[in-house]
Amino acid sequence: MSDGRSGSSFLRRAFRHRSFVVGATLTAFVVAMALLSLIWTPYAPTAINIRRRMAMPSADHWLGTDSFGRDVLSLILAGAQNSLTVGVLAVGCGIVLGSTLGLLAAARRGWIEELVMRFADFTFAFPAILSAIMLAAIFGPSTMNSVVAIAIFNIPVFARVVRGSANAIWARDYILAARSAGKGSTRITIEHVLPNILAVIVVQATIQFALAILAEAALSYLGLGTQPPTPSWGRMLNEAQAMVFRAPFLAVFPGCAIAIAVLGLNLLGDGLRDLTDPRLSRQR
Amino acid sequence: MTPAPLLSVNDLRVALQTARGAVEAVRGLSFTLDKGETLGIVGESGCGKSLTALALMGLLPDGAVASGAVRYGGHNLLTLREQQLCDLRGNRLAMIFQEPMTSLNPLHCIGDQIAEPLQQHLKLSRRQARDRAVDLLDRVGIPNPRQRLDAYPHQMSGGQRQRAMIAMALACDPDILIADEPTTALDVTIQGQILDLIRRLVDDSGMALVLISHDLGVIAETVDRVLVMYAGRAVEAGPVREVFARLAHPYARGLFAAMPRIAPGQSHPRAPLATIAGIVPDLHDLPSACAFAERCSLAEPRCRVEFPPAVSIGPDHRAECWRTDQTLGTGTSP
Repeated sequence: MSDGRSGSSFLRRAFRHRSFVVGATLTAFVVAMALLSLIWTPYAPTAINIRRRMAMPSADHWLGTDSFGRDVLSLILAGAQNSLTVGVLAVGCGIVLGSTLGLLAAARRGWIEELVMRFADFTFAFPAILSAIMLAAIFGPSTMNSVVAIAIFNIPVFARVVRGSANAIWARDYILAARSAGKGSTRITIEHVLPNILAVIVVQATIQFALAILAEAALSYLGLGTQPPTPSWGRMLNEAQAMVFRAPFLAVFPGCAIAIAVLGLNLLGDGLRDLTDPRLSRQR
Repeated sequence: MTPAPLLSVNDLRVALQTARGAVEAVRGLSFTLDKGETLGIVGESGCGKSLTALALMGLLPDGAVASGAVRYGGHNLLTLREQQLCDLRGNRLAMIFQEPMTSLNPLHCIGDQIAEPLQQHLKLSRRQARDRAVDLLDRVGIPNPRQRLDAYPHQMSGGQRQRAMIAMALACDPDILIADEPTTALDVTIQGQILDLIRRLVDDSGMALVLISHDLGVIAETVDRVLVMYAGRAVEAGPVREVFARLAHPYARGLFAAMPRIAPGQSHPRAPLATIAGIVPDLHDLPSACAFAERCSLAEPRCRVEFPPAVSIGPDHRAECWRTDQTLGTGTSP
C-alpha cells in the first residue's frame, strides 16, 4: 500500500515497468482513437458508397471499405468510442454499486455481510451473455442493454474484491485506534478504509474494463448490443463473417482493434497491480 | 456515604466464541476507579487484561460478549447503544495501544489524526483543532510541534508516534485514559520517558488511568493501585505499595520472582531467571477450583477442590488464595 511518499518515485518505477509502459501506451492509443473520432474521421462512419464497396486498403481508404462501401478506418475510430463508452458506464456502475456493497458488508458484518455475499454469488452465477439475452428479450437489443448486462456482471466482482480488502483493513490497529477515538463505522469507512483500498479498486477496474470491452464486442456480434447504424467493433466482425474469404481484411481490422484494447488494459492492470503492491515491486 | 466512583466495574465477564465452543476469558472482574486514581492491571499473556480494556471501551472483537456491569456517568457502558458509545469514546474515555507503529493510519498526517477527535467531539473548526493539536504535541514533548503537524507516521520514530498517540487520546481531556501496554513495543530508554509523560499528564489533568502491562516494574513506578490477573480473575488487588510489600498470592510472588534483575558486580556467575512452572491453563477446561493450583508450589488438596475465598490481607488489599498464611508467613517480602 502506498504510504504517502511523493508521487515522483512512483512514476519513476512505473516507467521502468515493462508491462505497465506497453499497456499504458496501447490504452492511450485506443483512447486517442476514440477522442479523435469525436472531432475527425476520414469519412463519415455511416456514409455508404456502393461503388467503392469492399475496396482493398489504399491511399483513399487506409483500411479499405466494407460491403456497403463504408470506410473501415472511420468505423474503427468510431467503434473505439462506442467500446469505451460502454466500458466506462458499465465498469463505473460496477465500481460504485459493487464497492458500496462491499464496504457495507465489511463495515456491518453479520447478516448484512452474509446477504451481500450471497447476492454476489447469485448474480455471479449468471454469465453476462445470459443476462444480456434476458434483457434483450424483455427490452429489445440496444447499447444500453449491453451496458446494463455488463454492469450487472461487474457489481459482484467489485463487491467481493472490495469486501475482502476492506476486511483486511478493518483488522488493522489504526482502525481500532480510530474507533477508540469515537469514530462511527461510516466515517471510518470513508476516512480510513476507502483510501487504503483505492489501489485495489483501480487495478480491478482496469481488468474489468478489458473484460467489458470484450463482452460488448461479443454482445454486439450476437446482435444483442449496439444496433446499426452505430459503429461497433463486435458488429463489424459479425458483418465481416459472411465474406471472410472474399474480404478477410474486414474481419482482421476490428479483431486487431479489440485485441489491442483488451491486451493494453490487461497489461496496464498487471503493471498497476505490481506497482501498487510494495512486496512485489521490490523483487523486480 | 462516599460519592459514587468515576467508574465501577461489577462482575465483568467476557465470553469468546471459539471453534471449540464458548469460553470465558474474563471471569467476574470487579473494581472501582475514582477521579484521578491510577490503576494497574498486570498479568501474563492471555489472562484477559486486554479484553478487559476493550470491554471498558465497548470495542470487543466480533464474537466476544461482555456481561456484568461497567458503570460510568450513570450509564452501564455494556448496554449503551453504539452511537452513545461513539460520543464517549475519544471524548470521555480514551485509549492508547501497544503498537505505535501500526496504530496510526499511514495515509493521514498526524496533525489531522489528532485534530479529528477535536472536530468531532468538541465541534472545533479545522483551524482551531489544528491549533489545539500544536498545543497537544507540545504537551507530549514533540519538538517543533507546528512543523510536525504535517508529518506522516512513517517519518516519525516509535517513541514519537507513541507520543502522538497519547496526544490523540488526550485531545478532548478524557476522564479516563486506558493504556494497553503503552511501552511494550518501545526501547527501554524510551519506555521510561513515555511512562514519565503519562504519569505527569495524569497528575496535571486529574484524569483516571488504567494501565495494563505485563511488566511489574512499569506498574510499580506508575500507578497507585494494582490488580493482578490470572486466567480472567483478579487474584490479588490492593494499593501498589501494600501489594509489593506483602505479595500474598503465589502467582503474584511468581511474577515478581520472574522479573529479570540487574545486580551490579554480581554478573558472574549469572543466576538463572526464575520462571513459573507450567503453562497458562486452557480456558476451555479451567478447573472449578483455583486456576493456579496446577502450577502452584504451595498447592494443597483443598486448592484443587474448592474455590479460594478472597482473603483480606491489609487495608484495601485482598487475595484469592487458600494459602495466604504460607505466603505471608514465610516472610520473604522483598
